[in-house]
Amino acid sequence: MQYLLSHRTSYTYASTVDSAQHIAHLRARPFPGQVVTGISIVTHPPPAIAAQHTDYFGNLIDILRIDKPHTRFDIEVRAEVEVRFPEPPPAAQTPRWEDVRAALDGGGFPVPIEASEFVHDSPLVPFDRALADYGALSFTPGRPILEAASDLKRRIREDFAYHPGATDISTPLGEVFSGKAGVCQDFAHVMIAACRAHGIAAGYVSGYIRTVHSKEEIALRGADASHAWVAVWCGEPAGWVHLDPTNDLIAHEDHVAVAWGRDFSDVSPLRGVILGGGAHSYGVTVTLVPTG
Amino acid sequence: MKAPRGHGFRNGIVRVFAAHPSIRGPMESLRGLTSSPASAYDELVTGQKSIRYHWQGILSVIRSLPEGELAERVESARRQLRESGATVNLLDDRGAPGWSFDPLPFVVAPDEWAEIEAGLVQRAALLDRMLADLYGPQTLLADRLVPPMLVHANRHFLRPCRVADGTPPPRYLGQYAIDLVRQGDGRWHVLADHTELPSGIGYALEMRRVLARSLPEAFRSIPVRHLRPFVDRWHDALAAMAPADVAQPTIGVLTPGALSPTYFEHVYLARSLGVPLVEGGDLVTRDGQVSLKTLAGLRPVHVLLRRLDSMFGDPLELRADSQLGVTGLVESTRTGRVTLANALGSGLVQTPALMPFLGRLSEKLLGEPLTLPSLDVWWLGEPQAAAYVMANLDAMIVRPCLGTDREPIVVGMLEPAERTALVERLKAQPGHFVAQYPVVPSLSPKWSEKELSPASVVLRCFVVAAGDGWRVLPGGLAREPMGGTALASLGRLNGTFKDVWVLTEDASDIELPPSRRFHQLAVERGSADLQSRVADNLFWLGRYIERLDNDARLLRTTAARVAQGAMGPRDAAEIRLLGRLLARANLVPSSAALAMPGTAAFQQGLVDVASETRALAGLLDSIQHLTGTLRDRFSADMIGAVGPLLADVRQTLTGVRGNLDSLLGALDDIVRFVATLSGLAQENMTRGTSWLFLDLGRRIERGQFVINAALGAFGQSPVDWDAAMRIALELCDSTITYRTRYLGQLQPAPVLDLVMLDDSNPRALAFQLRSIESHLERLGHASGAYVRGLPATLDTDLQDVVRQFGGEEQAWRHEGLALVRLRDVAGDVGQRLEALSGAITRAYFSHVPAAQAVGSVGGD
Repeated sequence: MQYLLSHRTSYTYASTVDSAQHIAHLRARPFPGQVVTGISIVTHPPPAIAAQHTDYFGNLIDILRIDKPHTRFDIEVRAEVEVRFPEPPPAAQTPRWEDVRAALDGGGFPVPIEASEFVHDSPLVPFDRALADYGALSFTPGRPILEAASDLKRRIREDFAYHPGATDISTPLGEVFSGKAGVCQDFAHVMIAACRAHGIAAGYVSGYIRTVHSKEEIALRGADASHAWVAVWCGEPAGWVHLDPTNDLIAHEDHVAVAWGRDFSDVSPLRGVILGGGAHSYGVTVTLVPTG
Repeated sequence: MKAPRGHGFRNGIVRVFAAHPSIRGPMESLRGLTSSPASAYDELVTGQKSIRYHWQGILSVIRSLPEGELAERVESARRQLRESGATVNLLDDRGAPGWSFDPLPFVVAPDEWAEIEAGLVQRAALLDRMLADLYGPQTLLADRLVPPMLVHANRHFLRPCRVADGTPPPRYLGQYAIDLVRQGDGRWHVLADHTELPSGIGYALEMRRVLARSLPEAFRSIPVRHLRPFVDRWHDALAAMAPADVAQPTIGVLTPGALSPTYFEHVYLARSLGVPLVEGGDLVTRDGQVSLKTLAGLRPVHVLLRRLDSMFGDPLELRADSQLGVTGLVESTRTGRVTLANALGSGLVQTPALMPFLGRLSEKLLGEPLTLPSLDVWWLGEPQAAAYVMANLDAMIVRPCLGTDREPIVVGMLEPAERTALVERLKAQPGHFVAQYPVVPSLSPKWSEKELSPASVVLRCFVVAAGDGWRVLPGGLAREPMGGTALASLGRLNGTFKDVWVLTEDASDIELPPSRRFHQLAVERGSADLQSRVADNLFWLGRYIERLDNDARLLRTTAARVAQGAMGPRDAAEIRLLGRLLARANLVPSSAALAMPGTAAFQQGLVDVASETRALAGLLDSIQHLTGTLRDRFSADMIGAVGPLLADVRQTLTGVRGNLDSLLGALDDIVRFVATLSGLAQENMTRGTSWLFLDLGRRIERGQFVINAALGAFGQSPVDWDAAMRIALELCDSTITYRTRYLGQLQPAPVLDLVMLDDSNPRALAFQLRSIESHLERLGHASGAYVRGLPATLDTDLQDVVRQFGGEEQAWRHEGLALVRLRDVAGDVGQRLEALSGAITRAYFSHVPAAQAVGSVGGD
């Protein structure tokens, strides 16, 4: 599926911002099954200095410095993306989750190294006993890993209420879990914690979801904003499988990924430090148009 | 003189010591006197019961001192350390003073030092190479030389600092500290590596300075290697780390600020290296360049000796809640326009979990075996190591190795339930723990007030990068760790500290300071390089000192009258007036201050000012805080004087306990404290920008005092003329001058002339206004930023007012107009002074408003 993407963020400040530095994880990067053909970022006011880097996780970051006094900051990314995440092998054929765990432990020398990064605690996903127990209902002995992970994703969809405003980014994961409500990033964090508690590698993927199917017109959760889901390491040959606990989906053609990391804090779309500004408000507009 | 050697001498010295009553016992052997296991190595005495050769010099010096002399010297050395702030500032977690000083150095023989030095250099090179790889290609993970978890789950691993397309720093380790212990077999082993914030060198340098003053004869007779050349070369090495195209690099010491437990050291290093001490708030990043905010604008900084925790280094890319960092610092390091020593994230390789792997790493990376071994450490992430630890758990000490450094757990001391819980944790997250056996450090003599006795010793050594190689401080910090086991005090600088003497074969070995390459420096006066933050602090220190003085004078004037007891109508009138001034200055609550003079309520209100919650204590707090943050701006004499004086003032103030005479004593102390401080500032500070800000603060505050207190006496209706004039003169310390000039007859025109117009009187309003005008002019000249002073018409206004009181007595006593005019003009000057304070703040201090973090929330 091909998409035309526009993601616009606006900050409005109560008083003048003398200068600002922002770091953006907004440039969609290639993933296996995803090709980015054209991408541009435009800001207003334009930056005095802009630097682009590939970050630790292979994501594309922009560092922007604005020296002009301003009361409003707009940043828009436009991209053309073609996406068809590879279909995972049948779940029953994936390795037992215990075998994947054993390889990721490896007596101190895990295989593969790249996946072992995603087994450990991360800033927003610390180990949580309750979440380990929650995950244990899916990670039953001898179960093929994709079956277990898919089951977990389905349970999260069933057990948690989708409720924007119930949480914000500072809500601790334990609270999200006990409240059984939240938004996509909470569900992704819940799933990541439950996987990692079982020694399974799980990463946080930020991106977008196509909200309206041109024909069926079924609205999916995550409308007109950023979305987030989970990549679970399912051993060879499946590799990383993108699972969306918010919609109980395996990502295939309706998800467009931007960046990934251990949790939201690694891929926060836009953060910054401003001098001045007083109170601020912001707005986000996302449009994802299928073009073929 | 060479250290004597030879058997004859050695036998001699043993005899000599055996004859000395106070040290006879311990000299026989250290071992007999300790509960430590017999396996502890004896630093002083050999197995054949003879004193080791390299200790004979210091023992002979001590032996030659008259009875009781050493104790006196120790006391003097400790006092010097207290005064310099070295022992005061270093606080441990619980806020207790961190260390005490042992005058007996730890002595290292030349050949032994050569071995240690080589081992330290090798280890520094190894850890630096490891950092370069782990923040770069990470081949060490792919080659299974480092378990990935020790990187991935390590809190010191900062992912933003590993960017494929950035410029790698010239060195990851610019400074490095290592703790060594000598085990029973006589070999030195590494107890801990400190690569994030390698503290301690400042204390080592300061101890040496103090010891050289306390035991000068020792340094004359014993060939001890000097430390100063190391510091000079360190400066040059830091300068060489600057970007290649910078001819005259600016270096700074980056500190988290005065609340840091090792702030003393930051100040000390900045001073020793002759570079500015900077906080995150002093720096900004522009164009990929880090610059220092000074009065004259931005000045690029090229090398930062980092003593700020990496995680707090940059709120943009590291911890967003950091108030201590520099926004954009990580990006600046990527461009290579600034070098940090150490690089951000350098704490990665200090985890003890890496120790078991260093031997192989050394073979692979350096092609040579590790010469300075680590203590045996088992990382539980390896199944075999975990099995070993589980089998021997009760004899071992376990510690978390990847998260925050927590107390080691002595398994043998756990309750059964605690032990079960620990075993569960170890099984659940084995990779987060290391285990090792208790350490038995060697025993070295220490001075325990009357005699020498044996004590465990841990040696902290320091290595810095120098060009392509490394340089080791020929000395260090030896300490007797607190809490018995060397592991319990890991990473903490506490316990008893001692100097480390590295001996040379002969005096020609002693390295002299390098012949410095001097850059041609432009002659400069009244530097505009003063950091804006420092200028701000100086200005407010000036204001607070003056406010303290004024408050104390006002209180003293009142208390002295109340203390006289028998009160005539004249006294009562004056006290009533003073009570109003006290209430107005918020020193005494109105209810008490406006009570009838002589009542208990009035007296109680007065003595209550000594309470810790009141204004005086608050001012003392502020002054202490500001002098703390300004340590690097004042001479050692000033710092040495302020600390103890301030402590004395506080003590007398808490000793008041409701007693009026004690209060008077305490107020006298405060006035004298301020006088001492003023004298020191007057005589020791160059009249540069620092002094100008300090004095500007004082002049503005004193101007306010003249207006509010001295002229405030005329603000009551109806005016009690005699009382007002007497008090105005007294508060301006001008009674005697007045008496000399006018023989005691009080009239308003001469009184007002003396307190308002006489610019030869340092307490008169005019004197303040003149000084302010001249200071502003000089600051404008130095910085290029001019602040408008007070209007010239103010002078004429003031003169007019005083002239109106020059007529017949009938005229001024009953002429309300003159009085109204006086109050108006005084009020006007007061407002203008406060506005001026604001203008100075805007022009020179924080041009930049406070930073705040913004971030979008996640998706839906």
